[in-house]
Amino acid sequence: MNPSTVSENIQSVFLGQIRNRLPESASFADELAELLNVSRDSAYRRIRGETVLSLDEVKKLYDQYGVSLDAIISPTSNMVLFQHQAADVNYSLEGWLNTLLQNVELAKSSKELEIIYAAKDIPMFHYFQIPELTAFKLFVWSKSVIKDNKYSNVAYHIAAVPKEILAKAAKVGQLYASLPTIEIWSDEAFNSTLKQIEFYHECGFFSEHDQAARICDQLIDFNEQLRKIAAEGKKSAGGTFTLYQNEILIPDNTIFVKINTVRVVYINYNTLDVLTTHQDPFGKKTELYMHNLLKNSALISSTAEKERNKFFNKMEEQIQACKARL
Amino acid sequence: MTQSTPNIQSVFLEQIKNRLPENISFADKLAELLNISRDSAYRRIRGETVLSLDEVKQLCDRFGVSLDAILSPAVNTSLFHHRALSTTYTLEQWLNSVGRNMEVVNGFHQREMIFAARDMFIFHYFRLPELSAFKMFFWLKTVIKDPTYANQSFHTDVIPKEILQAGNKLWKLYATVPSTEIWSDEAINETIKQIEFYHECRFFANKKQAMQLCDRLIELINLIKSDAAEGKKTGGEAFKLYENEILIADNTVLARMDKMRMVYINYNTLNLLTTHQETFCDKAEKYLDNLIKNSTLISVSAEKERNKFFNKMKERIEVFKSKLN
Repeated sequence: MNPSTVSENIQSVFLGQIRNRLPESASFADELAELLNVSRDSAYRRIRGETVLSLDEVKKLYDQYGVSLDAIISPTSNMVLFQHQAADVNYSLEGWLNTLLQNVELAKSSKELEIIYAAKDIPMFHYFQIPELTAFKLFVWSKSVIKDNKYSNVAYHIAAVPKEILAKAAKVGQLYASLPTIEIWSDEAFNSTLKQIEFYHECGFFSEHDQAARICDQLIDFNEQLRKIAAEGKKSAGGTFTLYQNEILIPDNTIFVKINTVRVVYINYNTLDVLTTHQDPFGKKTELYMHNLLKNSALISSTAEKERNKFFNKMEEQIQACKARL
Repeated sequence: MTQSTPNIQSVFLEQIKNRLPENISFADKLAELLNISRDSAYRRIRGETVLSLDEVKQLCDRFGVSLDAILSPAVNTSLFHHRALSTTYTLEQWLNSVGRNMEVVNGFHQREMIFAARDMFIFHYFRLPELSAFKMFFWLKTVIKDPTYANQSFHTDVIPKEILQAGNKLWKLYATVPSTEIWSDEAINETIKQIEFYHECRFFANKKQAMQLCDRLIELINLIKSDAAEGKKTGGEAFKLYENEILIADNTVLARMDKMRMVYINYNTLNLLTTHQETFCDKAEKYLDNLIKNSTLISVSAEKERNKFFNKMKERIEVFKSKLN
């Protein structure tokens, strides 16, 4: 091949971005040689732009490092590639939990980590610490959202959700509790769970008559635990907990994660499905949006005791009111 | 130098070829675009010469092909078009862009839109200029923090007439599409909170503004209620309204146009993600079908349920109004 036809511009930007994702101690040429199964010299020729990377090689690097080519090729484009993980009858709750687990493990293993979670509902990860509540939430999803036939004629009782699933959820919850998180909630964060309890109660989907009231009691305990970790600014497994209250925009269950310099955005849709993207321009826009949202919000963890108590009291009142209606 | 056929290169070139009219020679077009000889073009097509990333870029730019989509063709990835209001992407651009989409939808004989709306669908607000202006001002000043509005308080003239008209045009375009909407009675909560926030922060130029906006909101709810009773949007096509009590956590829209489908995900206020991808549309369709099964139809029939539903929202506004005094 004639080296003069080789333009190294995009190739070098692409390889440069990959190099940035490696620890400083690693030899980039060695990594490249190993991954592409070429000699060290050939790797250097690719780095210097003397050899053109084939698209097959680009794919190997893309798969390994998740660097978006679209973002390099057309940085101003409004096209964004998302991965979607949807829980459905084929993609089980277990598969869904496994994906969550992989994601929290990845976050756990990284040194520089920023997580901002704009939450319409109390993040599932908190529920996962409490088996009874986890079971109820997962049951509602399976029966009413996914409409898994297995559950169509089953009334809720805690044993309806397999133990292994609850154990896996607990593991995800435990790992999440060790991560530093910034969370933005509104005081409607319990609403959907409360509505689900009432709906199930009215439809006779509980196996025992006092079950709905019991779940409400557990929610009250849960609310107290959340109040406590907010006061301490620390979650049960040691991860910092920075809680903001937002009164004006009910957030959409969007999670922004920055691992070292890589931005990842998770958007919830259709209740429990997740869209994920690594595309950097999109990540930057989301980062900006989140920081604007924080400016509109009030910090209620560690500090602002009065506001914090008002916030959690209001949620407790909502749970009590729901219980009284049953 | 000869290399074995790179598989992805041929997939990539195949996609480009598919975007050309049939009567055009692919090799000629490639040669022209990449500024190479016809022979060199053939070598690339046969995979004997490796395409450089710069060449790939030229082709992607020219034909709007996503390389990421080719590199990860799994069924669980989709390419989305993203529109987010920002200080560089103006409200006017956003409204016009969405307006063009609605015109496309209206161009089809068979057309339908289905919404699962946690917050009342924004086009409804565009029916009344005062509410429309408030929602727009709120996005500009508070959500995207446009510096133009940093020190401004809200009054109805603060948003230019043309922009309000562009908003109203969206409503009219929407009215002529047969649609199904699934709401919960929380659909106006966010707007009430926003009025309250501005009232408390004294962002209203006129003290009575909060009260007036509440009255407009009641007026809007009455309009929608009467549309629901008729089963038809004012000056337009069919309107089906379902009440869902338990499950709506976000705002998803499915549009059907003849055999085509499109999904809009509306998140973080005015951000829109749009895709045509088949598997994604399938899932959204299924999700909406399931949602409807859990919902109660309150348009045309179910007068009692319909009244209860809208009265609950109106009561919430009245309670808020009484706090303003």
